[in-house]
Amino acid sequence: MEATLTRPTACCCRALTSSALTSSSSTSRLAALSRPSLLSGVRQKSTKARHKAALNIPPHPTFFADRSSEDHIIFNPPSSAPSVFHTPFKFLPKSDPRRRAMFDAHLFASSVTTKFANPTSSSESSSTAPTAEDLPKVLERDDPMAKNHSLTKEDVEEMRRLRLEDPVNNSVKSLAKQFGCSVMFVMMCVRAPAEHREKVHVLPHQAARERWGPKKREAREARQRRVEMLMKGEL
Amino acid sequence: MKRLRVDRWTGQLLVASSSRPATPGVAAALRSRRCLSTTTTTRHQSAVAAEAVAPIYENAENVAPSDLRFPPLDKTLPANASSLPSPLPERALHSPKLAALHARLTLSPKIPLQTLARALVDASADPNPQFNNSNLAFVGQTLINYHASEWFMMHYPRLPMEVLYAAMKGLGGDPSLNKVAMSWGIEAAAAPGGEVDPGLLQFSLESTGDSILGFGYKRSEVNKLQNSKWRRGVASRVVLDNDFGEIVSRNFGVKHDGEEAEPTEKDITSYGNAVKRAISQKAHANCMRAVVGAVYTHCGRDAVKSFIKAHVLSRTIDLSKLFEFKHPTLELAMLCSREEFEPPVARLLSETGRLSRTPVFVVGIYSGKDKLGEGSGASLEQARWKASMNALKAWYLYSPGEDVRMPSDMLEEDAKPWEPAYIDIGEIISR
Amino acid sequence: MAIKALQTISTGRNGVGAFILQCKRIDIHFCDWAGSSKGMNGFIKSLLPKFAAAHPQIEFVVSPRPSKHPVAIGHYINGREKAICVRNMEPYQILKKLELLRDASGEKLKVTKPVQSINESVRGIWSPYHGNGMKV
Repeated sequence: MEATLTRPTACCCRALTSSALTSSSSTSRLAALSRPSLLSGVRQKSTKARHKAALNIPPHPTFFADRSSEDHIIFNPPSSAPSVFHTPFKFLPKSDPRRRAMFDAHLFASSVTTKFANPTSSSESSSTAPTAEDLPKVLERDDPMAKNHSLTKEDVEEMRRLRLEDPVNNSVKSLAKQFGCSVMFVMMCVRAPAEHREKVHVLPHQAARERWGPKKREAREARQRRVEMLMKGEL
Repeated sequence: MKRLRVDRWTGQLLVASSSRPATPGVAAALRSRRCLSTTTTTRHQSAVAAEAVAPIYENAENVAPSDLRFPPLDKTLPANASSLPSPLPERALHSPKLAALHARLTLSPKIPLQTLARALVDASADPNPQFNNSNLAFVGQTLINYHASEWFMMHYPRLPMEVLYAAMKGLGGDPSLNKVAMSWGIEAAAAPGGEVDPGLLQFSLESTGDSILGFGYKRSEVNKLQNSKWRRGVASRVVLDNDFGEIVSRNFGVKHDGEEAEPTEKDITSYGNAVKRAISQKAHANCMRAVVGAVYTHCGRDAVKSFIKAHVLSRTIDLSKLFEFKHPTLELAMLCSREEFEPPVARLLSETGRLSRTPVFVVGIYSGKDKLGEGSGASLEQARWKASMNALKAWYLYSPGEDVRMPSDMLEEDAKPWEPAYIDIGEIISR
Repeated sequence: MAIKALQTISTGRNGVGAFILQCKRIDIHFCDWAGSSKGMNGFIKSLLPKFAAAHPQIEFVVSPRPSKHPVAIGHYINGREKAICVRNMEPYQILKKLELLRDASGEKLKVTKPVQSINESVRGIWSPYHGNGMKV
């Protein structure tokens, strides 16, 4: 999966493809267009019937499931993002009667969890409860939470002392590495002195900020506004 | 649901100061106003009194026969009508607008037209509490806020207090009730006075001296609040302030955070400035509340419950749009540790166009094998935030179902025994 | 850190909960003398009292307008009005027009979709990233 691709690599990829495209002649692009394997390519009079026939697909297999029995339920969950008004199974209180009803994994799956088609398993086997292998991949983050959650009080005191003594050498990152905890944890434990924050985070960028043109400034403001809108649920 | 003072519900309904009841059929408290002491016209808040002073209209019968073809549209007014601050209560019986409003709301015939006319007189038009709607409006707002808070608490027991306040204001606040009053077809008189048709809402844009600015506890430090945020936490707002957790202040221009809102050039539109719009909104809302109070006074508890359900609780408010988060991922992690769930992890469910200008990522938040929420965004970070926000909303918007029983259902006769409702332990992170 | 609340105003739908008749006033103008008002005069004498009694939620205002055609004007809660000239009409034709005024919502006549709802759809908005897709 491409989940591990970072930004610079992506940029490199884009640059590579664009340079490749410019170097190739226009005939190669034409050839790509008229490639016969493209189903949704250019439709000619001669190919019209074939293309239309290709669009004539049978109904979803769920509609054919279990035709043998007299009474059956067609299970066809909505292909849409789940609503926040559907409380997940875990969030139901112990007293809620839905908890008992939804204990059946199949029903549980129908109400909140969208099942993503597993290419290896057939539709019949996907009705069982998901196992850990079936679940999608965990999103890797730049700063994964630390493995070491066993810092003692003395460790925290030591961390504070180091950071306040010499904030330049004992940066947040180096302290996190030294104590084997996350950057976030260091920032929660200790805050650098105000003059250090001013010196490191504000003053060096002051001159650069003043040189910004209107486009860059607006782009910054728009980004900030976008985050605000996201937090309000407007985006 | 706070500050419910049942003993006050009826004590000050129609007669504010005197202990004599002023409902129709009972001898009214005859109290002439000081300004009218020398004239013949007296104002009474009673139907019986209205019959007693019916000869006021004798002028109408003495019109010349030639004028009978075009009788005056309104009955001839008493001589000093324009000196009164609001129309005489007995004129309510002759107002077609008022009768139409009574029928439009399908009010019970038990509610007399005089009471409805009184509900249309704002305190800014007539400062006398025996003739304006302030007492009825107080009863009405108590009932509306009681039923609204009960509805929200039973249906969404996990709502954070801030969101509950916003939801209650969205349903029972001035802007919402102003819309209800507008949808009833209540028209406002250009200016209040004794000669105005009693079927028109009367409030004064010029002198708002005695009009009600809010129901609730007024803080002594209200003028100092703009400088400090002292005592402005949610816990303080539950005890003090009004039913929506807002400061009750003395003048109209005061905003939520205590700033004075002077009408600037920008505010003045063809509909008047912001302060005048606020006055009009408040007058309409109080009129609507007063009608609710009148329904309670004359028809009782069950009638007012169904009236509030039909006109207020039936309105739609999207609760999922009331949330604004700051650190959704952190809050979700704290929720999972508090409830002893497995720590939440983000999983990439699907994606498209990662290298394009418009990528879409769908990220789900999982706790163990259970999915808590999912969201889509143009970057992995955004999608993760959205997914955690959706998971938190799913937590807060848990509802035990549509047909939960309300505490007010227990007031009915032969009600089944009360089963304890679901109560949540509270917000994840509160101020 | 705590959740902040955003303020909205609830939306009402007439008929969900309570129904309010949108026509609040009907003005009826007639002329004693003119021939075009003959039907209107008959309507006012014979049919209007019964019609007005059947609709207490509408305020009826009858006023003469000499040497003019008879008109019925409906006033609506949304502030608009609808005027119908009823010259040379029979009383029962005028009754039909008054029923039209009574039933109108006061909105401008426009071609709309048959149903408009503010409720969220049960199955949500279709999304290409969800559901059990089918390999073609």
